[in-house]
Amino acid sequence: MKPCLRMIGADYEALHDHLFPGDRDEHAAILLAGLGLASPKGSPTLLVREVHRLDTDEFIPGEHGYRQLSAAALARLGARAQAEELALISCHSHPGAGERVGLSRDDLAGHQRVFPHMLDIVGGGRPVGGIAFGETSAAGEIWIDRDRRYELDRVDVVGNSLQRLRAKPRASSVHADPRFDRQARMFGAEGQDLLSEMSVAVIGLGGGGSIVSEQLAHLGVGRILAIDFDRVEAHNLSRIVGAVPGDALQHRKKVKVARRLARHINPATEFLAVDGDIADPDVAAQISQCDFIFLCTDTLGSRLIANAIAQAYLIPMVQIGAKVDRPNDRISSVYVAVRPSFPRHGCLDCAGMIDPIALQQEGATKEERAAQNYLNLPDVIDPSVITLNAVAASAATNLMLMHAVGMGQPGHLSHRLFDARSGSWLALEARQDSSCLWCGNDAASRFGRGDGARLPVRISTSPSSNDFRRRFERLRDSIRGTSSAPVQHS
Amino acid sequence: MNAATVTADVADALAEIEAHYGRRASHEPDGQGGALVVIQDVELPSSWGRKSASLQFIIPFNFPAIPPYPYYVPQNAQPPPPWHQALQPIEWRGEPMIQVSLRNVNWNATKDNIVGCVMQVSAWLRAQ
Repeated sequence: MKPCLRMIGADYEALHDHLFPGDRDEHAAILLAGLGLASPKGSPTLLVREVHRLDTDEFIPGEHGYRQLSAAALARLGARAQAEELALISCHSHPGAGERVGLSRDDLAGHQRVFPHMLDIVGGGRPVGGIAFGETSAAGEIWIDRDRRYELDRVDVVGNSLQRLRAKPRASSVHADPRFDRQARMFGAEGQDLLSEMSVAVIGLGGGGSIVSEQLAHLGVGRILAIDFDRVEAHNLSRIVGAVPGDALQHRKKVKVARRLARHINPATEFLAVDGDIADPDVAAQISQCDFIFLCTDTLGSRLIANAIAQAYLIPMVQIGAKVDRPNDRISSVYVAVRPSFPRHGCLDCAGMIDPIALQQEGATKEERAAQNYLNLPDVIDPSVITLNAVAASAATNLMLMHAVGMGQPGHLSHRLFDARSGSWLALEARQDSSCLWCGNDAASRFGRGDGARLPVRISTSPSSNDFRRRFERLRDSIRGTSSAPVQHS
Repeated sequence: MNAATVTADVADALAEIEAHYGRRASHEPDGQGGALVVIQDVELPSSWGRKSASLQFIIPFNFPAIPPYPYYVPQNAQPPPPWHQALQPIEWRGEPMIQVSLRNVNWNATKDNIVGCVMQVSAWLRAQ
């Protein structure tokens, strides 16, 4: 069980600038973090919501070591962590440390003196921790309680590209598998290793999602969580990759078709087929444990929930869709949309892509829609073509790949529209509303709150629920080996 | 209400309603995490057949991302013809009701609250 810490690129840049101003002195900051309590490997993820840079009057000459956090700083930020129900992580720089760093004997002794008190101040069973940063490395420990402490596995920085900071570089594996030889020549064995460690959610396994899932299996992604409750029908066969006429005849679940294809392509990929709905809190909880989310459905309800998960758990996400406008039965436009919603960059709600009025209509009964005068037109079946789905799916999967292997450039996270008739791409400026419920700076924002966020999902019918304290207790029990902490898959 | 039958956000909204409307307000879970709310004795315009009626609406499970919409009053509130276009007759939950199609178009989930929503609708009804 090794916890990790996740933070957004902008916060890390500000933290790094503060920790390494070029004076070769030590500097410190305190991170307040939400908590995602279970990953597929059973490890908690700390999600940085607030970065508090400390000045020299709060990072003072130490009684036992070179420097220490002042009691005033710890009391001030400990109280804030308690009030905001966040974990508290102290961090400082080790000047001169590059790609290797470790906690010093003084660091560990300081944790022994201070952390028991910090656990009391922060309260609520929330952890505290300490991290030492090198220029491109991080090492730390997280205290769950006075008796249980765990070495930090890594710090994930979610920006244009994913940065993974560890205590030391990992031994580079030589990929013997010839299937990945050509792609590994582009992003290296390290990149291939990273893909094999990734857990990726694909929500919706129709025309777009089935292609995403196929490409993830080809790339060698380690784990695919595929979610869809729908079945294959004859009209799907023109665009669901891997689907055959027999699937339509048997009304086979779309997730099962995707699983069959992925297993044929890459048996090493773990494929979890969830016949369920993202509005189910247990399904949403499984998505919250992933490293990347593809949203390939066309409902606003799933858009609302996936976007909320991305912002609450700092998980990069991309939503794809294709649209053929044909007012009066005449085609007016054919376009494909690729919309990344990364933490605090491209939030779909800020972009106006989650219209509450349309979302309310989506959930209304036919009778209610009739009363609202929305049933004047017969039900419209939108056109859908595999080539459009393929453009969107490939662009989105490529975005994930560039991000994951560290090749993403500024600008690749803009929302983009592809005009299929002219063949041109249009990039749209990302908008951010500081008062956004999901990504805003407001105290009420759910950004980075992890399991403490209230997701817009239905009430849980299982005892697990979103209750923060209960889930934390389950985690603690599982760490102590007194609970199996099951994760349900169908 | 059993806390497990509605989401935490809906429970907070119900507490706000109860604090503001007291015993005039009642509620029941909608089975998804939202709640049906009934507020009694909401004042109606003098031109209507009744002086007051109940105002009913659902707080959806995805509140506060999505505010309540629409609202309902019983058809025996008897608004005089012609009805405003926001008023539509409908059978809702087995009862003849008038759907009040008013939206909180500038809803801000981090700043607005449920009581403000209801007060806006009540004020609109009174002004008819």
